[in-house]
Amino acid sequence: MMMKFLNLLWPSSAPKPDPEPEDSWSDPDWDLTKNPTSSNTAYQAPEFIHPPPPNNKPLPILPAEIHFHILEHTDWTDHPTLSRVCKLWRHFLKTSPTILESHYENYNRFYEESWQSSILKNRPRPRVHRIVEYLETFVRGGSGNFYPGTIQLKDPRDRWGGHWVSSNHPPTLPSTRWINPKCKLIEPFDYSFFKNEPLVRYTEGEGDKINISATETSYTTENGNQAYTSFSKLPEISENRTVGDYLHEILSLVNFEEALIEYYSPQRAGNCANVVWVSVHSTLMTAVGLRFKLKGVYYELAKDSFVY
Amino acid sequence: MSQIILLSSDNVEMKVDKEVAERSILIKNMLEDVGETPDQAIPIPNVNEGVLRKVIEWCEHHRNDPPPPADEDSDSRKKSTDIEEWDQKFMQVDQEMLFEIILAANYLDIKPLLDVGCKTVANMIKGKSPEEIRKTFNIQNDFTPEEEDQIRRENEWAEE
Repeated sequence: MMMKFLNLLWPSSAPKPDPEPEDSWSDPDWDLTKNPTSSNTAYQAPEFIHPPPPNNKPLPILPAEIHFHILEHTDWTDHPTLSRVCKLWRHFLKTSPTILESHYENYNRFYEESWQSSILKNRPRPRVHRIVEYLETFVRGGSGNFYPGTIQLKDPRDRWGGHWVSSNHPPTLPSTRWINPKCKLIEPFDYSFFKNEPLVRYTEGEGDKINISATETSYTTENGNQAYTSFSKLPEISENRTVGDYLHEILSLVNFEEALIEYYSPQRAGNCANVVWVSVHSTLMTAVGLRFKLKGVYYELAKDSFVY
Repeated sequence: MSQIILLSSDNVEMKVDKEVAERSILIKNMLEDVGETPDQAIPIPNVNEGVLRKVIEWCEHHRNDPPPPADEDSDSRKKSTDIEEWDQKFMQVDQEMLFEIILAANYLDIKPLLDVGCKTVANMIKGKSPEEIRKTFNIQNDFTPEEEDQIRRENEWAEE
């Protein structure tokens, strides 16, 4: 079972997604192929803009300090590949504080909400590893296994999950539904490069402490728009946890989804969930232990929503 | 407006507004040390005519930009591959010229130009394989086969 899901983390064993069908939305903002970080085809560098010298004429040699400067401007998703160029690059990418910092983003969820109290709004904010948002959705590929994916909505909500309702069950009001999202596999890469990095960095002192937990929401589609939803929850991922710890938890969660279906509902084998969405939420470390949960959000999926 | 003369490594003189030339911290400091606008050409021994003209073109366009933050590690300078449109077009040159501009910006201490050049290269190598990148930068693969195996084995933690 475990081996079956290793390809979530092993790019080499993951199948190449099939070409995208031509029924993508016409709105270019939703055309995932325009976005190099979420496209399921490798981003093609525009080589023609900077043609190499003719006849293999050697390029000027750049000193190491400029190599480092260039590396500081690279995207975090490229760092695993760049670390395989040479020992100097690998050492720099593994030890540079600037590079490490580029793997994190401010965790703003709940801080910016209009209803949030000014005390919380003004709290120092932790920085969360980018892998958390990057690997929040897993889509069942044509082989039957789950792979990292993305969901794009025609009616976009905030990037952390967007819509909030009080019910734990599929909402009845049309306005509470996400209509016909597009699901897409993303190109996997070597996530293990980040495995020893802390999941959360607290840079501003005691006030920015949070715990992170993740809730799994799985979705399946049958007969067009019918949706099946189930929830399960990961243990809290608290201080001193690494990206490797987190990925193990995520793997367990996605594995559990598969095990649940195989063990409890073998008759559902043909209809098992085809999207696992991991929503990350926080416990702000306040005196009252204020906690937020995502409830009752679900996708109304159509079978042709999936782009492999 | 006072002008100064720059002398490229291939002995070509170029007259430039002092304000433009002072985008280079190297030249700015030198002029401050001298205390007056020199009559003689200032030699720029590491930069040939073609590259120096490109650098001056960039400095002309950005002559009124605010000075970059003093903090070397400022977030505004790093961690971004966004390049403004004019700079993108300016950097549409062959790889040799691109590298020469970076070297010149580094030598002349023009940090914003160095940033633009490095961002351009960072965008250029996006999605390339390690071998393609090695070719671009003239880098030898100094990993032994055993070390490459070890890097591959790092993934095995996921199997436990």
